[in-house]
Amino acid sequence: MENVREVKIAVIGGGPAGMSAALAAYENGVAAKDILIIEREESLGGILKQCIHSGFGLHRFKEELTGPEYAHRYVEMVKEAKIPYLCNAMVLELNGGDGKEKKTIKATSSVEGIITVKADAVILAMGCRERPRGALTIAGERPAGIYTAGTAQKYVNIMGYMPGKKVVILGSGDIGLIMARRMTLEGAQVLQICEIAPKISGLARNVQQCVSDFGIPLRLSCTVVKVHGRERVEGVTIADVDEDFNPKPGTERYLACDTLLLSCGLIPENDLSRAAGIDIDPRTNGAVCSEEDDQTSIPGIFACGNVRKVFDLVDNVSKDAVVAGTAAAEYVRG
Amino acid sequence: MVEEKKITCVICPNSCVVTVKYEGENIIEVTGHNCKRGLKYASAEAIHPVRSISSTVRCADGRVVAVKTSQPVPKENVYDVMWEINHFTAPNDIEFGDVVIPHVFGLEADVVVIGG
Repeated sequence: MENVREVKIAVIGGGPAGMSAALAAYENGVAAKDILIIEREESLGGILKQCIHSGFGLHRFKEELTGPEYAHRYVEMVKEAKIPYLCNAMVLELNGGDGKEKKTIKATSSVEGIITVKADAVILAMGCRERPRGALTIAGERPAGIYTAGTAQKYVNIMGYMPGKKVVILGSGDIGLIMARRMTLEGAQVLQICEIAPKISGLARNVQQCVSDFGIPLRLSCTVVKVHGRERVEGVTIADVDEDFNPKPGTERYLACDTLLLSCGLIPENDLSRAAGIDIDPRTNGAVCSEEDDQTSIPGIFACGNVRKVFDLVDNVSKDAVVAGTAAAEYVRG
Repeated sequence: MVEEKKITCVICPNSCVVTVKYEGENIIEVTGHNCKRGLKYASAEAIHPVRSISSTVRCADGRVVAVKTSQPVPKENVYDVMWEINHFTAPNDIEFGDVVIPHVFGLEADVVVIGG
C-alpha cells in the first residue's frame, strides 16, 4: 500500500535551518501537525552534532555554546512544540509542479520504506557539502588517507576514530583550522597547512586558537601539487604558487605524512532543487531567492540557511530560516 | 614596567584585535574590544591565558559522547585535561548535561556531556 502523508509545510533537512524554519512556521500560526521535518540522519541537529567546539549562539542565545548544545536547544523547542519529524528518511525527489498544485516529495525511510509527502509549501534546508578532492586538481594516486576536513571531524568527534597521525591540511577554511587543533589535541602531528590564496579564508579567531596556539605552520600562496602513495598516503609534494595559482618551479617540497585533509570551501547541496527545476545562482550555487521571503523560482518552495548560500555563523542560519518559515506560513494561509 | 600585547579575541567570529596594557599582574588599559566578554578574555589572555576544551569520552559500551570543560582551563593545563579525558571510561547511562569528571586535573572546571 502506498504510504502517503499530507501536510501544509514539509521541511527538507533537520539541521539548524530546518528546525528554525519549522519553529517559525509554527509560531506564525501553522499547527504543529501540519508541519513535517524530514531528516536523513538518525537524529535532528545536522552538522552541529559534530561541531563540538564552542563559539555558537552568541547572537541567538546571548551565550557561548558548543554545536551540540546549540542543536539541543532547537531539538528541545521542536519537541516542546510537538512538531513531527521523520529521521532516517532520505528525500530522493521533489516535484514542485507549476507552483499551484500540491508539491510532492518522494523519500525513502529505513523504517517506513518509500514515502510520499504532499505539501502546500516546501522549505529547503539541506545545508551544504564540502568541495571534494575530485573538484580539486591534484596529481597522484588515489590512496586511502585523503579526507575532507568535515569527514575527518565526523570520524574523530562522532565515531571516535583518528584518521591518521601525520597530517597535512590543504585550505585554510574554518573546519580545516578546527580539525588542525582537534587532531593535535588527540596526539596527531599537523605538519603544515597550505592555503593557495594569499590570505587565510578562516576566521582570525580560529587562526589564533587553533593554529598559533599550537605552533602549526601555515603557509599562504602554497598548495599540494602531488599525492604520493598507492594503498595509503605516504607523503605530499607542496609548492608555492604565483598570482595565477600556478606552482612556481623549484619551490617543491616533499612532506612525509599519512593523511591529507581538504578544507577548500563549501557548496550548497542543491541536487534536489536542480532536479525540481528551481533556478540556481551559478555564483553561489544556491537557489535564486527573493531576499525578502526566501522564496525560490517555484512559488511555495522556500530555501534557507546554507542550501541558499553558505553562512559563516549558525546564528545567521537560524535567522535566515525564520524568514523562510514565516513566509511559508503566510503562503499556506493564502 | 608597562607592557603591551595585541590579542586576537577568540570569543566570537568578530575576531576583534584587542590591545592590553599591563604591568605584572595589573591591567592598566584595554582598547579595541566591542563587548564585555572581549574585555574579560583579553585581560586574562595577557596575564594568564585560559582555553575551553571540547573533546569526546568513550563509554564502557564503546559509544562516543562529546564533552566540554564547564569553564576555560589554564592554557598550560590543556594537555593534562586531555590526558584525563582520554583515560576516562564513562558509564553507559550518561546524558546531556551530566558532569562526568568533576574538577578535572584538580581544576575548577568539570567535564560535562554536550552530546547525545
